[in-house]
Amino acid sequence: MKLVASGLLLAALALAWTIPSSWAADNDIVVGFAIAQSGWMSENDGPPSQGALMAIDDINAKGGLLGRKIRPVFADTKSDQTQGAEAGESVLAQGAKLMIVSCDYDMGAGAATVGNDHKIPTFSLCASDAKMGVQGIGPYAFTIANASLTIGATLAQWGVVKKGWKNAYLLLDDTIEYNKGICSGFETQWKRAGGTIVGQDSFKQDDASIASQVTNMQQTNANSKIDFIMICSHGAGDVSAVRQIRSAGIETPIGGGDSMDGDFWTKAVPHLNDHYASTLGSPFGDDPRPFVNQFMDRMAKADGHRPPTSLAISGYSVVQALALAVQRANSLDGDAVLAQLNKFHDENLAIGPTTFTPDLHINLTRPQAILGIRDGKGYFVDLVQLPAPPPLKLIFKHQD
Amino acid sequence: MQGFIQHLADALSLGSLFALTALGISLLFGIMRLVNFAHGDLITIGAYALIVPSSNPNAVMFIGLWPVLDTIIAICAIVVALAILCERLAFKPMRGANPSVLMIASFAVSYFLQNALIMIYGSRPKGVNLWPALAQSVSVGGVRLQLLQIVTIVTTLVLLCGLTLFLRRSAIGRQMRAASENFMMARFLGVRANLVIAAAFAISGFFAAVVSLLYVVQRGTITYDFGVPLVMAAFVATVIGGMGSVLGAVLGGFLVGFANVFFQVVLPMSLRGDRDAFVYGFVILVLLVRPAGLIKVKSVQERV
Repeated sequence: MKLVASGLLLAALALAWTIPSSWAADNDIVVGFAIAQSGWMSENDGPPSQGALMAIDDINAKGGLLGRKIRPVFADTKSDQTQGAEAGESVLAQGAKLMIVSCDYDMGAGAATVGNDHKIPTFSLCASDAKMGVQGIGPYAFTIANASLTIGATLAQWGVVKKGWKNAYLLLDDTIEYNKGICSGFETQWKRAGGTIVGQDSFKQDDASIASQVTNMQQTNANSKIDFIMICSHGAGDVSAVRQIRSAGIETPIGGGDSMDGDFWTKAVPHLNDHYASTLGSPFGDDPRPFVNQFMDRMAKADGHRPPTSLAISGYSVVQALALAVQRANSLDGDAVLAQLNKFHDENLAIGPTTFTPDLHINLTRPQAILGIRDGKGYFVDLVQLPAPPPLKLIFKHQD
Repeated sequence: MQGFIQHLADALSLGSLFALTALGISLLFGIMRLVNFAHGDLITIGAYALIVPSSNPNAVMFIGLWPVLDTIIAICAIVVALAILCERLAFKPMRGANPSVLMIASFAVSYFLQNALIMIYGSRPKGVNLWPALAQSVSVGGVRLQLLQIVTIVTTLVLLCGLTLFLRRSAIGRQMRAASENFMMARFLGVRANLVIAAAFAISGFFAAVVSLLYVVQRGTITYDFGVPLVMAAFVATVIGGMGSVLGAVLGGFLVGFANVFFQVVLPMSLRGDRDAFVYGFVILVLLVRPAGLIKVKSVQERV
């Protein structure tokens, strides 16, 4: 009996040994996607990871990277923060040498920490929090996105300089850090550019009604006319706030962050006009950058309908960034790739010029597209670059 | 003065939504001692039933395009049927179980329904523009009143009167009241448990359907957890109103609504982010003064 048991054990060990060695013999470069493939977060991770897969196909079609084929492997975080680390371990076990994690700091941190601990260069698909980098996760973690501060600040820059607006009103949904970052970037830049914040108020994503906030806003407007209402929120809370403000008869221009990209949400606000969002690019086919339009066309062809937002382009850029660094390092060694990523200076990626330094693994001044809404339909308005990055003390306010 | 009346209208309409939700929760608690957290998901499903089932982010109206009365009847029928189905499949097999076990079961039903919604509709918020005329505002003597606010307040008053009449005058209503006093004794006296409980779920579902229609017009956008925040507030409302009391649920709902608007208005900006801490601090104060809630329900009291 004992003999049989030890025989079985040996067989199991042999089997366990042969599986990784057969993978090791495989010459592919494995990129691990530790992302949400199910649950609420999958809507956010889906389009950018689709963009990433498109970039992998493009590179493979041109002969691969370092002469080797790139092969994606996946692990599902199930939109559960506690499953992040496990998903990270899972893609490493499948042989990943480069890692891609969820489009959000909180949701991606678990897997990114695993990547960082194993010295695997790891990118978040689009987290806009600087903590997804050296100061939060560690030296091997990056995010391709602009900081949330930049998202808010570019809209402020455009509003004051291009539109000549003076008086802004801030409406902050203080449930998550992303929203606070947008408002603090907006407020700083609005004042820097010469505008005034005439009032502010807060609400919560889940508030059943923001009627009292609307009343406060109207009282402010009676004293000093508001030129621009900046709503720092996301998702359903943001859309609902826009609806409730417009329902009250307030037709003042309204701004929002990149969660208001696209125009699929405007059904909630009949005949909406004068809404402006700061985001990556236009999904409507009217972006002045030809590559963005070609990219959206390809996505439309693959899906059978136009992409609802432009956010998929961030995933494409993540793979571009990793491939560029690997090529320059001529190696998959984590430290060698990291050294190349840290030298990135205005690299021409799909998402726009991209810069990293050993201390900063997020972009602060890459141009943002401003999208407008006219009678419920979205259109490209402008491409705006900040004259100077937001103050460092705002970026790392939690390390003060 | 105008500002005061404006805030009063805001508070009344928010309180009405909480009160309507609290009624649905309180009724079930009164009879079954069930704290039904899945009530919020019934509200959510009422809203999703308005659109064509699809994961496409562009929502296409379905039942929401029907004539107003047809839409109301269809949504009420769907949500009531679902409420009864939940009772038959999830809660009936657990009848007589400890209230805390029932509550855990309601969480399970809630998670199941939410994930089913994500599977069918996706998790991206959907824009739903139901009855846009209701979302418009009218100005009465300088006070901006949204038609929806008026409709919400009137609906709440009408339904509260209707429910009270139903409980006092109809045979099933009387049986429900008897069951909520003492379920065991009521059964000995010939009250049919299945009928009474099914009726309670049906009425609770009806209230959920009404809330979902009003709330959709208010928010204009729906997500898989659309009804959850309402249920959290309404649950607190039923506790301070007095668990199991119909009038208490309504009073509690209005009290939470008023507290929300009051603190949103009077707190300085630096503290406004912590509004909920003040609202729920106030709730704790109320409970310290009246631990059994505003309206005491004898059958819920511990007999010492």
